[in-house]
Amino acid sequence: MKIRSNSQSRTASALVAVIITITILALLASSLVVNVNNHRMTISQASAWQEALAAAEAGVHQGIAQLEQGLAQNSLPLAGPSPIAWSSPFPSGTTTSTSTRVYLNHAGEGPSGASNSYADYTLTLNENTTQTIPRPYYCIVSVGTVGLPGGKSLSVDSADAVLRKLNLRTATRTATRTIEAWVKPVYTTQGPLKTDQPINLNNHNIFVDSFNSADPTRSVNGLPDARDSNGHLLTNIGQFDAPNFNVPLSANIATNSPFANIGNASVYGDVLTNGGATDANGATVTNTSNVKGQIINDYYEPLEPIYAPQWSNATVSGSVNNSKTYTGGTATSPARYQVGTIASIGNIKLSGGKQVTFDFGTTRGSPDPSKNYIELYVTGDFTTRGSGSTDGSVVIVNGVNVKIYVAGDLNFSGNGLVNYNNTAKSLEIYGISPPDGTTQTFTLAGNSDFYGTVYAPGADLKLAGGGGSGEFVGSFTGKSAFLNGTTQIRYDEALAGSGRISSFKIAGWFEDVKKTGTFTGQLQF
Amino acid sequence: MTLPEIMIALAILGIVLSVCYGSSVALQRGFASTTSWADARNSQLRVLDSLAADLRNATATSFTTSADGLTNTLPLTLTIPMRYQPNPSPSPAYETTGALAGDPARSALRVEPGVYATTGSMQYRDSSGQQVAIAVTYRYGASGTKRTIVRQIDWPYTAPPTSTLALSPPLPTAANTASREVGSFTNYSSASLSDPDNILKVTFTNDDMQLISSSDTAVVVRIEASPDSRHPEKKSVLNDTVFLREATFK
Repeated sequence: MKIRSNSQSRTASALVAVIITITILALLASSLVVNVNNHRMTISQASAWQEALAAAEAGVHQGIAQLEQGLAQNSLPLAGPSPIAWSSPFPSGTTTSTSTRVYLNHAGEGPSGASNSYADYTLTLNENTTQTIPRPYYCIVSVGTVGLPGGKSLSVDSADAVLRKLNLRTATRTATRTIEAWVKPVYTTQGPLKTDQPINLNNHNIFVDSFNSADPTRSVNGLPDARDSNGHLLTNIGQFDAPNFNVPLSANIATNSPFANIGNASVYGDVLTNGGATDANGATVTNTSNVKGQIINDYYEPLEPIYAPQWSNATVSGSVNNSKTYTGGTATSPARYQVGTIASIGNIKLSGGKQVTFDFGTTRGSPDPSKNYIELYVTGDFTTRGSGSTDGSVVIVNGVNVKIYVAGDLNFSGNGLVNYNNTAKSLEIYGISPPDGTTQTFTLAGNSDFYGTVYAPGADLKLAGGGGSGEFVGSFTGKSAFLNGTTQIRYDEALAGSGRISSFKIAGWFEDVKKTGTFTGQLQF
Repeated sequence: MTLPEIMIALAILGIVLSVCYGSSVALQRGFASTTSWADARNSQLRVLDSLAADLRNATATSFTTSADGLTNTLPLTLTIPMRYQPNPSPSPAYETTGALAGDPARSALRVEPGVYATTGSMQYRDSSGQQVAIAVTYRYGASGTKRTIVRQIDWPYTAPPTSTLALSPPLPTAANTASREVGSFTNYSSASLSDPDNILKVTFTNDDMQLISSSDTAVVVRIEASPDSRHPEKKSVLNDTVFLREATFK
């Protein structure tokens, strides 16, 4: 049997079959490619959106770094054109109304280079006046921007667009996120005892508690409640767990190191360390049986260094070895005295009944109560020893406010220091941070009670209760701390907000999800 | 052409067609599988991003403990400062309907914070001086044959400045609510929608893989989905650790 062949028809049908097959396969393959590409696009856009958050937070960190540099240079930004910004990456003192831009390295998909990932941030000063002492709160509004890879297309699901609010309309397609962060000042006087290195409370008779000299329900005539011979409060005022006074613990002692020997001392607050361990094996926070609060191990707070004063109007003298009286100036123009110079170090060394007195300035030969501010810079050591006087070796007349800067060692022993104000905020002692590798020691071991604050971030701090009660009323900060004897630290909560700003701490964080970003960094109340 | 030749040709054609058919079916299965995995991954990523954004802003969290007691799960309720206010006043501060439901209204105005004198911390108040917050709740939902995750917000919750602001039910009479789906997942398993764990499972732990406590400042979020219709036991898993910014500073 023979079948008539029609080769032309067979060829055409084969071609059609091939074309149909290829078309079907191509459609399937293209659908797959489109799907995969859409997924890739979504991943890329989500990645850029995440990176925009990192960029925005980098702007916040840069703002905080600028504030900390301002602290170190004693040039915090002041209220001015709002918002405050600098024309260079670090403070130049010039304020403008524009934001500051920081560029970040971008290694992801999309156009590479620094210009593809950046943050614009503004710093706004808000003087918080709701508390007793006005405090500078700063608002940092930071907008992180990252360029988007690929074309204009969105992902297949509109929910992605709703969430991420990408900018696809302009020639430069971007993902942006806006962060508003608030930072508040941390003062040198916040807390009874802070150190960078280990704390050692070397006696179970030591105790650390707090009171509030501005609160009559938590102080006795502005003073901490006295204790009897057994260490019990006489009137139950001030103690956090005393009857009728259920107040939070405030006498927190803190170290940036993991080591703290509490020596079974009574601490009416928390013990904060940086990574300390309380486990039986390898414990670094030890003898904590009388800690009334918690042991917290995630603490860190930088201690800003203290630099030597640069005074142009100080009265400069040589070393002081005999009795001397420093008289005061006004609050706006305090009397400034400098002992020695950088080239010729000067010390104050008192013994054998010699006395340094801080007294009122005079007007027409009579003491003037308005002239009650004194600042003293000792370029060397400040030491008192011996006895022989009814007063201390250093005397502060009631009503006089004193700041003392010491570049060398400080040792108040013997008759020690008598502050007739009986308030801690009337005396501020600062230890000027020594060069690296240089040891500095601050010792307070006088016979009398000590009222004042000590901030010496480069000094080894030694407190030893001497005669009467060994009571130290105020706030104490050092590189390390060693307490001995019957030392009592009585922290005055009313100190918070006085002294110097040592750092800034984040107080608020919020991501503004409104498309255009609306926060301006102004305090409402 | 002889009969044997025709039979051989038909046999070859049959083989070719069956190969084509098989390839086509395999391609379609692959395509469907790729699509469902891609969709699931997109949804997981979106849910994770949405959760992370809200967790970072939260000042307080309230998780549900899972049935086995080992992890936290949905529903999750977050307390977030109310940073937007109506403009004009009678209108809602947040979109109540549509794709943007739960987002700040287009015309909404900002609410700036103040400093609470007693603690020195930031506080957010409305025009009458009351502290004000919104509740953001993530919960499982169902839509047809799909399992969804819904983000719902309720506002405003208020409290005097001297009190701790709590999301205590019921909502005040002026309450508003808005919700939208942030992710949907196809029910490929034989389980019903009432058994979400076979379709979709969201779990939370702290960074030590324990139940979350109020002092934790980081949350590990884990989302499991079953995107493969032929192998529902194969899970698509996405993890992320979210650091709670606002809660950390308290």
